[in-house]
Amino acid sequence: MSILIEYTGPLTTKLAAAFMSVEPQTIVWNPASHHSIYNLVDIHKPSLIIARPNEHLFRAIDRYKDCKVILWGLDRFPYINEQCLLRLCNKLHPDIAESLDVDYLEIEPMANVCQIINGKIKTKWQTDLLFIANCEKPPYLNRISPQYSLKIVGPYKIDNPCYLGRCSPQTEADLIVTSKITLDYNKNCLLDVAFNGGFALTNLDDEIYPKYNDENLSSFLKNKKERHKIAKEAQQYIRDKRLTTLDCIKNIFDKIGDREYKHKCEEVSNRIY
Amino acid sequence: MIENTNINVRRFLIEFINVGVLVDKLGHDQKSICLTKGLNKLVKDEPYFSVLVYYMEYDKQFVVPNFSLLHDNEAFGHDGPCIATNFRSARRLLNCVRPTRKFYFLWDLDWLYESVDFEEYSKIIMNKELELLTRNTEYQGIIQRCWNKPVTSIEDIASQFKNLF
Repeated sequence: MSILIEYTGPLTTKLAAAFMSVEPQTIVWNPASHHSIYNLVDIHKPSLIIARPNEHLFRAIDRYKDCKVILWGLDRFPYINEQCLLRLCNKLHPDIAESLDVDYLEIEPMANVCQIINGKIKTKWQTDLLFIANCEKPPYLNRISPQYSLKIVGPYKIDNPCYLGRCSPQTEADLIVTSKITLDYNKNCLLDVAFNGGFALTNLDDEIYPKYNDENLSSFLKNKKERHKIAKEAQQYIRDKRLTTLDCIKNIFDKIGDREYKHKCEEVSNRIY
Repeated sequence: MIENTNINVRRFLIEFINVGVLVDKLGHDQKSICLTKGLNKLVKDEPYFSVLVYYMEYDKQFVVPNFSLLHDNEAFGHDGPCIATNFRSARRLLNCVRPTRKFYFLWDLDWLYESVDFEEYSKIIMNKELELLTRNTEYQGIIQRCWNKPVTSIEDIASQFKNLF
């Protein structure tokens, strides 16, 4: 079995890493830089395609009837047929869910356990605050950056002198463990921090980590014991609730009725945690 | 008589401080002009300083340099303290074996303008061989906070360089 995934953003990278851990023949296709999907399907003949619905996709799968398709998002398309098994989407209103043409799976925020894992403390990178710039910038970042030792890394470039460039997932894990507090904004890295046993402050009302405000920030920076206690609880929570990429793809395989790969996902996740 | 001359020549050579500066090019940009003016003043005020600027690419100078210009390849054998002025030259300087002390002069916060990964940049900037210099106290604070490494602020090249070596 080979899997072809269309790149749609950071979520694809996470899921592709998880798919690769169970099926090494996974190809990530970026429509902005690669050939059309029609050619790609012709070359690789994948058994499973995860892509946004478009005309080229349906023309391509028309010739390979064994190929299964999982669709990104809720875009309607006239050619949707029995090869389309599932739609991946964000949280849905029940009325919309009822009117859908194929089965769906809600994708929730999840920890990237196939890439950001086993962080090691690196004293040379020690810092009070860490922000991983994935897509958005918190409004308080410029205000606090002169007061504390702050490191900003990630693919989303931020206009701040503390932005130190992109980094690999392994470095991200190391930085999470090394820094005292990771600042989370709209769950951009919250679950990764929790899985690696780091401490975070978030802008959302969350059950695992405290909310960000200036008082919390200064008090938690001083209180190492409290940080460690919350971090341990968060790590346990994430492992119990199974909010990880591997569990997400296990659910996908479960929904499309692929028992072999579901079992493989369980094997890999048992090995990791 | 000949022996005495040799001794004098040797003493003359020993007393000189060879300062090497690695640049991409010495052209019309603000950095090149400030650097040339500062080094010219240094050479004029402190006669025991011998300045050699190693360029990667030759360019017409806006200010006439009163010091030697050599191609970048020659920096490998430079005997004395050497100063890199950007990320690329710092990487080159780390590969040079002769310089007695290695400095990285952060004229700008280079990591904001270079498309270099965090790991790669930290390997250079946090390298124990490199001592960091910058041009004002604001940058000094930012660099120290970001890279956990002491930085010396050099606001006037001519007067502060002599204390450095």
